[in-house]
Formats: sequence, C-alpha cells, structure tokens
Amino acid sequence: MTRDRTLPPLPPMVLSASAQTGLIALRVFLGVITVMAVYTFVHGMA
Amino acid sequence: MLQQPVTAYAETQISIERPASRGGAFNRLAAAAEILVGPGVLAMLGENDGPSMLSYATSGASYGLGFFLPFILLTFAAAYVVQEMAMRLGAVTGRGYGELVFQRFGKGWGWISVGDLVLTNLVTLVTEVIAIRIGMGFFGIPAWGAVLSAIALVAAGSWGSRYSRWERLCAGLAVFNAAFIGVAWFAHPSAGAVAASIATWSPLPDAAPAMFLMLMVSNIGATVTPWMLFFQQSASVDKGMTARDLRRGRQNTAAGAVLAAITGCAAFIAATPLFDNHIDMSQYGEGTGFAEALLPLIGRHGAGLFALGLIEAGAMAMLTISASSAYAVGEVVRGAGCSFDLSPKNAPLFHGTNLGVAALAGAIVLIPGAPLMAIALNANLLATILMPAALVFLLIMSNDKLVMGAHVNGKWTNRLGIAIAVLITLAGGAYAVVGFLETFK
Repeated sequence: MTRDRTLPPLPPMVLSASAQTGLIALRVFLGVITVMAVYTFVHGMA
Repeated sequence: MLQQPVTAYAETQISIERPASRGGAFNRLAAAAEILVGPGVLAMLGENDGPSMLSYATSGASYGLGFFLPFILLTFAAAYVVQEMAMRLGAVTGRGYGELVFQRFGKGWGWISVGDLVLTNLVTLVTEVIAIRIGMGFFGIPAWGAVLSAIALVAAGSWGSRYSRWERLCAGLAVFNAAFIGVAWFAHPSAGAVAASIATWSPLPDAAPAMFLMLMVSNIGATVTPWMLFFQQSASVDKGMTARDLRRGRQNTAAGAVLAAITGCAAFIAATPLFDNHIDMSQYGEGTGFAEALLPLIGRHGAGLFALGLIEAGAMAMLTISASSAYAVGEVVRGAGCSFDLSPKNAPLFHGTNLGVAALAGAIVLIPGAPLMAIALNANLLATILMPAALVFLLIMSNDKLVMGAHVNGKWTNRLGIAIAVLITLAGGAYAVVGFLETFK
C-alpha cells in the first residue's frame, strides 16, 4: 500500500520560551563538540 | 478539525496484510517470517554495517573480552527503546520523522534535522563503500569494481517500484550478517571467558582515556544513530503499518535487536584473538585490514567469512541508509513522491536521492590516499555526537498527545529514553573534549 500523502498538515507545536532556549542550547553544544571532534580527526590525519 | 486527524487516520486504515488464520503450521511459519521481515529488523541489521562491525572488531582487537562485550549488549537494549518509539510514531501518525519535525517544530528545526541526517548519512555511506572495498579487496577485486557493485545494488533496489520487493532484497542480504557468527566460531572463544566478561562487567583500569572513549562512543554510534530513526519511522509508514500493528512492530523491532546483538557480539569476539596474540593492527594496510590480520589465527575460511561479512554489512547498509536519505528529502519537499511503491518517473527526487547519495559516496572512496579506516571509525563518532538532537525531538513527539493520542510514551519509556539521551550526550561530549585536548599535547 502506497503511503498516504494526502494527510492534512498538523499545526505547529507551541513551545515555551524555556523549551526553545533548551533546544537552542543543546544545538549550540552539539555544534561545538562536532567542531572539536572534526578538528581532532583532521589533526590526527595531519 | 486538527484536533483529531491523526488518531482518525490510524484507526481508519486497514492493517498490513496477514494470514486470516493462525491454525496451521504454514500460517505459524508465515507469521514468524512476517515478524522477521520488517522495518525493525532491517533498521537493526542495517546498522550492523561496515563501520559498526569494524568498530566492534577494533574493540575486540584492542581490549579483548571484558568491558566492551556487555557494553555492546547494553547499546542494543538502548536501540530497542529508541527504535520502538520511532516505529510507534510512524505507525500511529502515518508520517515520517522529517515530515513530523517540519510540521510540529517548523521549517528551521526541520531543515536542521534533515541537514544532520544527510551529513551523517553521507559520511556513513562512504564507510559502507569502504567496507565493501575492504571485503572485496581480500578476494582480489579492485576498488572500482567494489564501488560499481555498491552503486548497482542501490539502483537494483529502486528498480521494480515496490516497497515489498525492496524490503525482501534487504532481508535476503541481511541473512548473511550471520557470517560473523561463523567467524566467531573459527576464533574458538572460551564460553567461560565470554560468560565471565558479562557477569563481571567492570571498567578497564589501564585504558588510555582518548582511545577508550573513542571506541565507547564509536560503539554507541554503531547501534543508536539518527538514520535509524528516520528510516524505521518512514519505512513503517511506507509498509502501511498503523496503530493496529504496534504489537507486531514491537516484536519485529525486538527480533532485530536480538539478531543484531548476536552478530555484533560475534564480530567483537571474532577479533579477540588479535588482542590475545598482541597483534598490532597498524602494521596492516587499509586494503584488507582485519581479514588479513586474522588469516594466520583463524585460517583461510574464517578470514574469508570475515571479508564476506564486511561486504554484506556494507551492502545492506548501502540500501537502508540511501533509503533513509531519500525518505528524509522526499518527505520535506512539498509534492514530491516519497515511496518505493512509486516509479522513478513519479518520484524522481526520492529515487534520485537514493541513487545520488550512493554514487557520491562511491566517488569519495575512490579519492587516492583517503584515510579509509580513520573515516570508518569517525563516522560512528559523528553519528553519536549528533544523535541527542534527534532523540530529543523523538521524545517530545512520542509524548505529543495531539498526534499520538492514547499511544504516547509510558512512564518507563520516558525514563529510559531520557537516560539514553543524557548518556549519549555525555559520552559524545567527553570524547570530543578529551580528544580535542589531546591534540595540544
């Protein structure tokens, strides 16, 4: 059975300010450690 | 109108086809086969891919039986908790992960999620081609032959325009994941030592922090990764699963976790003779690696099976990870077809992404002098580092009563899910910081 692509779109979830801040903080943290890991990888290759 | 649409969707859809009666032996066999062929098993065995098997083998070769064997078992238990949520979310809502993130959290978070996925998938696909190249290299097949085979396999998956056909192709390949059980058999592990390592699980006192953390994080990334969430949720939708199929979906996911844990641990055990015999893996070239190193210890048949297992692991994951990218891109582009049931003419973006990412990964592997083993181990690290973001959205959506209705997470699923997200974040962060600081020594 082909997946149903005619489902109505869902409304956006309303996130509290603290939830938004938490998500952004997590994202920034993950971005920083990703850069550190990539630097370590590139440094190891040099 | 928007308060009930998803529950209504889940409850009005017909269930996936199944035998009408469970009376005869044939029907019981058919029911068992149905549990073994599904998105849960494909996701779990698909994640027993090239870099994962190389990661398990590197752990076995570096530290022998001990800390990592029970640790690997624990990661598969965590994988079940996460994948069950993804399956439930897909079956109940009729929507893929990317689609749901876009609709519930907006385009910004949606594109970030899909961007993470496409990046980790591309790096992982490169490592799948590496695994196929290493495996085929053992049998004397040149690199270009391995790359062409990998791309042709993904093209074959798109051919036929049937999800069921694609699923059977994956399931047929997945059977050969058991090759690693054969390799472990040739390694003649002591049953007592294996049991003792599980029963007396304790930290490794003499392990160098950076190497130990790298393998620990790499093993987490070998079992719990973003592509699995996207894939299992989307494939559950593509298969036509609904809320009525949750029990079967859980059985399928649990069967996948058990099968993948057995073969993953087998790859780990198969490499422990290298630790026992103090073999330095750095002396082996990246063309044949473990199979060549194991050759004098477990014989030609065992080493050949290891190489075959690597080819299977890479091939199976080529199919599922390419599909994961295609689902993600197809779901977020309005009006694009997004199913293996649609022909390439009717879903050009879906099939183009499926084949395009595989071809790009193949081209990268053919770059002369590329550090193949280092890329393979680091692919899992990247997956682990980026996993917490995907897990947080999964947890929020699994508790979203608007879309999940009565099928929201239970108390224990939430506790376990949060614990897994926190531990993965801490492990990824610890590795990144320790590894980074070591570069200044």
